[in-house]
Amino acid sequence: MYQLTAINQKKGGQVILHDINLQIPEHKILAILGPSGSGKTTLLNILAQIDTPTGGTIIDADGRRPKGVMVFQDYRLFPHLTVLRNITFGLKVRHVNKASRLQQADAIMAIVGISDLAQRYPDELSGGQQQRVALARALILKPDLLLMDEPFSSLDESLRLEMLDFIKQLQQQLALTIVFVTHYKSEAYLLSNQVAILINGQIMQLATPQQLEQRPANLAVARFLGQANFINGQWQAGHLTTDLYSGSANFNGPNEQRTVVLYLPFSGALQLQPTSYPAFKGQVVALTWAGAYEQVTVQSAATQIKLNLPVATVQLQQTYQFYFTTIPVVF
Amino acid sequence: MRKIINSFIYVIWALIVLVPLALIVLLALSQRWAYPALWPTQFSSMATVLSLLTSTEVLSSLGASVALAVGTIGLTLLIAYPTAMALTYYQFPGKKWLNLLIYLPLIIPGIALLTNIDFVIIKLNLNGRYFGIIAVHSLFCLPYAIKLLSDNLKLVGPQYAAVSQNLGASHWQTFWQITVPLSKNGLQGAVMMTYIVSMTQYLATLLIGEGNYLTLSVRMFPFTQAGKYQLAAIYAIVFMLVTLVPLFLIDSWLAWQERSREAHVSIDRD
Repeated sequence: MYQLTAINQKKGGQVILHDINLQIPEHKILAILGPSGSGKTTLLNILAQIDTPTGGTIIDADGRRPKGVMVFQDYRLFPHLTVLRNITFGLKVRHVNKASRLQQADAIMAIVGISDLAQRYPDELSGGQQQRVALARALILKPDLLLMDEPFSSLDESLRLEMLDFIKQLQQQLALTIVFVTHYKSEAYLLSNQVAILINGQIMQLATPQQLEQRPANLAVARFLGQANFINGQWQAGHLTTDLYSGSANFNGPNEQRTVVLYLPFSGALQLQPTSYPAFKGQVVALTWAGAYEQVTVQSAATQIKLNLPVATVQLQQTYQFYFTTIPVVF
Repeated sequence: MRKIINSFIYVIWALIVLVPLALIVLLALSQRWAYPALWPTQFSSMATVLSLLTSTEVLSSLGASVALAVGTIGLTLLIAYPTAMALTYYQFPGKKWLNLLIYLPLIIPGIALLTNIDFVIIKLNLNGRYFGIIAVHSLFCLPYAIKLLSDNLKLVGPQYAAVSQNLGASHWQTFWQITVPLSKNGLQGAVMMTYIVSMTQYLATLLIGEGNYLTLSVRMFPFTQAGKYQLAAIYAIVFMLVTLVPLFLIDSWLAWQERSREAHVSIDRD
C-alpha cells in the first residue's frame, strides 16, 4: 500500500492539485480518470518524481518514497539509441555491468515480445512496438509503481484492445502495481481494479467502476461520467418533485439545497420488471440498435430520457410502466 | 525544355563560384600578369609554387590560425552550450536582456568594439596572449553558436532529459548521454561556424595579438594591399583548404555514421 497524504501543487498562483489523499493498493491497477486539465498528468509526474509538489508526502508501508517509472504517452524512446540501449539505459546509469544488463534485457524483451527488435532504432518501430519498448525500459528497473500516461490514446482501435489485454496479463504475471491516467472512462473501466476520479485538482471519488456508475459521489462526478439523464427538480422535506417522477429518493447533495438534480444513468437505473420503486409511465419514441443493447428514447409528459435496455425489451410507440432498480439518487 | 533551363542555371551557378576560384588559382601560379594582358604572361614553375605553399611563413601562420580556432571553439562551446540550455529550457528574470546582450557583438560596429576591447584586454594584461585572442574571437562567435545551439535544443525539447532522470540518471549523466548526443546537429553547426569566424578574424587577431599571432588572414591582408597578388593568392588557397577540408571531413564522417546505421538495420531485417 502506498499512501499519498495532502499532496498540493501550485504553479504561478494557480492551484493544480488540492489536498490529494489517496491510497494506491499494491499489485493492483489504479486508474486516475478525469477531464483534460484536471491535474492528472501533474499527479503522475509527482509520483514519477519528475515534478516536485509544493506540499505533501508519498510513502510505502515502511515509510520510504516509492520508485515510480513512467511510460509516457508519446513513449519518448531515445531516438539516438537502439531498442536494446534504450531498455538498458536505466541499468547503465546505475553502473550495472554489461553482462548483467544484457541478461536482464533479454529476459524482459522476451516477456514483452520484442526480442527481434533489439537492434532497431525507435523511428523504425510501429506505435505498438514503441509502447512495448517503453514498457520494457520501465519494467527492467523493477519499479514499485509503473506509471502510464494516457497509455492507449495514441493507438488505433484494434491495437488499443490488444495492448489493454496485454498490460492486464503483464500485471498479473509480474504482480505489478500500475497507476495510469486517462480521460476515457472505457479504458479506465476495462483495465483497472479501482478508479480515482480527479476533477479540478481534487480526488472526488475512489471506487470500483461498478460503484462509480451506480453511486457517483457528487454531481461533478456524475456529469463527468456522463451516459446519464439529469432531471431538474425540487427537494422538500424528503420529497422529490420533478416533471418525470415525484416521490422518495436518496438525497446526496449539500444540506438545505432546494433545487436538485435527479440522476438517471442510461444503463442499470430503470427496468420493466416491477420493484418497490415505481418510476413513471412513458412512451418509446425512438429505438436504436447498438449491438449489446438498444438505445431507447422514452417520452413522459414533457420530459424525454434515454435508456440502454436489453435488445427486444420494448417496442416503438408502446407505453410502458418503468421501475427504478433501486431508490433513485438525487444531488 | 525544363531540363535545359535547369542545366543552364546550374552552369551559371557553377561559373559564379568557379570563375573567382580559377582566378585565385591562376594568380597563385602566375609570376607576371600585368594589365592589359588577359592571361598571365609568365607562369611560375611548379617547384616555386610548391615551395611558396610550404614555406615556413605559410605553415607557421597555418599553425597559428588552427591553434586559435581550436581554442576559440573550446571556449565558445563552454559558454554557448550552457547559455543556450538556459535560454531554451529555463525561465529566469532578465532572460530577454540576456538574449539581446548575446547579439550585441553583431550589432555594434566591429572597429568601435575592438578598440575598446583592446583597452580592456590591456588592462587585464591579456594583450598579445593566446587566451586574450581566443576570448575576443569567442565574443564574435558566440552569437552564432548560441543561436544555432538554442534553435537545435528547442527542436530536441527538454522531454528526453525528463525521461532520463525518471530512469535514474543524474543530471551529469543526462547531459552527456542524452542532451549532447541529441543536439549533435546544433553542435556540428556551432563548431563549423565558430571555426570559420575565428579563421577569418583579421582585426581582432592583429589588435589583441599585437603581432604575436600571425594567422593566415593577418599575413594575407598586407599582400593584397601591396599588390603581391601571387603570395596573397597562395595564402587564399591554403586558407580555403583549411576551412573547407575540416567541414568536409566532419560532414562525411556524419554521413558515414548515418550510412553504417542504415546498413546495420538492413542486415538486421534480412
